[in-house]
Amino acid sequence: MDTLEKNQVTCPFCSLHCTDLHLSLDGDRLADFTPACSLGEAGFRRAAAGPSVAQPAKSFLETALRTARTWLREARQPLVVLSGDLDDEAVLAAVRLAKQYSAILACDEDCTGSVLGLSMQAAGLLTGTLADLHSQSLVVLCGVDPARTHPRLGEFLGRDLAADSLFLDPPDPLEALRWLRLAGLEAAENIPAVFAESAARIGAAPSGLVIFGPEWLKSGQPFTTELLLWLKDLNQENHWYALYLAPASNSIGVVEALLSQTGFPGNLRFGLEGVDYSPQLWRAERLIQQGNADLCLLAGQPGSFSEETLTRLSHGRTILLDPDQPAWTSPVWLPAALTGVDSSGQVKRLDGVPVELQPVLQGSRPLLKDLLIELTHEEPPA
Amino acid sequence: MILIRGAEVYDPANGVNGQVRDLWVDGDRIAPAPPEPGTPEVIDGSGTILAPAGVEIHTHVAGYGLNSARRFLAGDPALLDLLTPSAETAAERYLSLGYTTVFDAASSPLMARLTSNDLQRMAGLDRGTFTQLGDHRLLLQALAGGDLQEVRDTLAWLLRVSGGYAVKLVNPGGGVAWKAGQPAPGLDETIGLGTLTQRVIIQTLVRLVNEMGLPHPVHLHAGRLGLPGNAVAFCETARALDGQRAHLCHIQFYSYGQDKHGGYTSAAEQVVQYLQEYPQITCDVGQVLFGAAMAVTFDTSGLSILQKKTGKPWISRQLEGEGGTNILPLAYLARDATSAVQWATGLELLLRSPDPTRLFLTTDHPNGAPFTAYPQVIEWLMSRPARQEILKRSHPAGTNKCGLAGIEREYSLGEVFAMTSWGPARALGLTDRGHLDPGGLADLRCYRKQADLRWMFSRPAWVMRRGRVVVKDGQFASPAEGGLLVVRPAWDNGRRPHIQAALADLISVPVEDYALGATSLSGAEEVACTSRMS
Repeated sequence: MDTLEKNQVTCPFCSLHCTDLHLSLDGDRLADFTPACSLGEAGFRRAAAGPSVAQPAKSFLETALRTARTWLREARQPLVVLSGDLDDEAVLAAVRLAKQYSAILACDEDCTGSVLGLSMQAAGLLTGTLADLHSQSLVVLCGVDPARTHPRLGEFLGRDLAADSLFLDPPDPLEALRWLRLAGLEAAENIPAVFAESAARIGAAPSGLVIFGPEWLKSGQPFTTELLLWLKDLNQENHWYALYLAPASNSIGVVEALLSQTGFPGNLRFGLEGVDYSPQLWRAERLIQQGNADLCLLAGQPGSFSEETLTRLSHGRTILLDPDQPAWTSPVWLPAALTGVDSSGQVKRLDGVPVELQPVLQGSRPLLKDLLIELTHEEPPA
Repeated sequence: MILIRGAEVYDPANGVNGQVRDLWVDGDRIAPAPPEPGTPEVIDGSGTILAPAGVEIHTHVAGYGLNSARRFLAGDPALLDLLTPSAETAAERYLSLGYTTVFDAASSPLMARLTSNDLQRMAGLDRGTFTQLGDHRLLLQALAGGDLQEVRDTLAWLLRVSGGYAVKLVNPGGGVAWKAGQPAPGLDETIGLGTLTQRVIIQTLVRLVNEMGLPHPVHLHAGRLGLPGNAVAFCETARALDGQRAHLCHIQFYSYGQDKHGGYTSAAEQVVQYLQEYPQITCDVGQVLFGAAMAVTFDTSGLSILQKKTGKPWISRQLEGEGGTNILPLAYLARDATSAVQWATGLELLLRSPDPTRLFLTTDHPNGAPFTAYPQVIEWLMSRPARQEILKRSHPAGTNKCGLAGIEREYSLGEVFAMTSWGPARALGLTDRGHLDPGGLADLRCYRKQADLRWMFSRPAWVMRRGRVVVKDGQFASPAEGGLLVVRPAWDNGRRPHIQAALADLISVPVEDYALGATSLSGAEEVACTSRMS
């Protein structure tokens, strides 16, 4: 078996996109991985061992593409579902495809687009990129555990998040936020001790960083708005930055690419009259369950969609663009390269900074972007 | 060849002011009348007005900040489309107004890829971007260190790696001070980097950029934006330039006096008089219109003051090693005294300015209004009754605290074209456009003459780009690829290790991937750094 050494590898497996990885591959086995990161190591181990770089048979791909085009043409209402770990170029290709087939484009299962966006309208947001967030005097972790979701975040921020932060993880986060906001008002009284103590630490800090994640966003928009209003209050006197721990590796990039192309952060319908944006109405599972969409095209990376989600979305005709073959039968499967493993692609880090992913392994599977472009093309004459 | 026969021609660069003439086009260039005409394609120009295509010197149509603005507008699709259209749509709208060259006013090196992505999608235009360096720590540290050769090389390197066309300075040092919790610095206050002041930053960088021969001088967004009484500080900034070549942008936002109650008055007359002393300075106006707008700016310290005054939510995204992009929804209301003064001040500046080749029409899109409002502004400039009608319907402050009502001047067509074509092209150092000299680019606009000026300027009969009609009666006739205009100033490549080592301490991405990294700019057209204007 050949040994492959790679330095300065950029990691595609979480939204930190660390750029300093060293990989050593012994055949299809990951022999060495530094610096230590459980997510990155597991991702590359899986990718190296899997069927990732196998070339799909040309005839298989052509047949799948032909069927997919036919289904897209025949669909009454196609639905295109994007996962949060597509690269930016794939999103642009998906937008073109959705426009051509007057499809609904749904991509907001993790709330990055709609819930956070609507709350930003109401309360605004002060945020920054990672190197600027080093020097904040206090970090408040709101219901997130970066050690699990973004293991090396502390390194980027130059601190030990486990020891050097204030953890807020109350049973009722909405109540906690309201108490914390009240505590900021001089006249506020009867603040429960547990919140008064946190509020005192926060109030004493000349600057700070509040890190939150999808767990709190999923509590709904009023809740997220309360969170951002609290930050707005804090910013009356000092600089308090917010950092959202995007759940998927390119959640931010997918939303930004959609905003740039369509003006909206996701969940929209393309029609002759233009774009109709409705974050609640154009949700993938709802559309499938109610029979409003009769074709579902899912574009993602391995593990983007849970088995449960896939089962719920595959009631009718289903086209899956994914590096891994689905476990269930009947859908049209278009095997795509794995971004950052055997294909390049632009993504955005959790702080919005664009990052170029480079292929680590030699692969010959088509890029996901190219498959989407292929589907947008008219059927070539027989 | 193409013969445009018998049009009323306006070419301010050559003193041609409405004479009926023929114009020849050969390939993508304007050509002299051939001795043997052969059988050219003929475009009948009778009853039409022919002029060089428009050149946009200051707009915000690309880059990272616009997506934050779109967040605010998601509930209002019509406003979203008006203020923050996609890059493709913006390009189409510019073309349909007769503009073929467009410069985005500010982009960040860290986010250069995103600006570049948008600019690539505006392929029907010649376009470019100004690289905002007024808060770049690497540059400011070099300035604070006093090694001018290092400053010069850092400037050149940052422009090259970012794909920029010119150096933009936005309230220089203001973002650095804001991040450190300091108030917005005045011209002679330190910004937190040794003894470095805004005056030193401006004076030094303006001089170095001119010495480097960049086609466009420093494009300066001064301090104290939007504050009552700021005209005094603005004039002081103009004086600080020491008569050097520079461009001061959206000066309407700096031309305010202050009444005894702290309210806004127009100081347009004083500002115009003051600027006459500095013929090397060009400006654009940043006209506001009544209606919704969106502040999109790198001026964190300036916008934070406005945000606190309005209490409205804003989105501020700070960038490592640089300043930040900031978004604040705005509304200019005819019934509001401040808005009325702002509206009148912009027009007053334009109407008092004697030289339309030095003060250009912009709305600082979308800060003052969408650029699609240009035909409306032109109508106000060309018709006193049209602007008096608006004055009558707006807050009395527009009349009482400004000089607009008493101004009788009406722009001629020649002045309109000087203000929107020849003047900005010259200020940008683009010698191949904005005029109708043989050899110049065949970028043209043609209007059917009519009394309704707003309608006329909204809908050219046709627009030609590089010798091809790209818009005809509002319809896109054929696509034509434009160029991405960049500069690549000379620098000492031997300093690369030093620059990159210093930058590595400021950023969290690999230095090799910084800005455009290894990304190549497709369609880039280098404009030579040979300007010798000082």
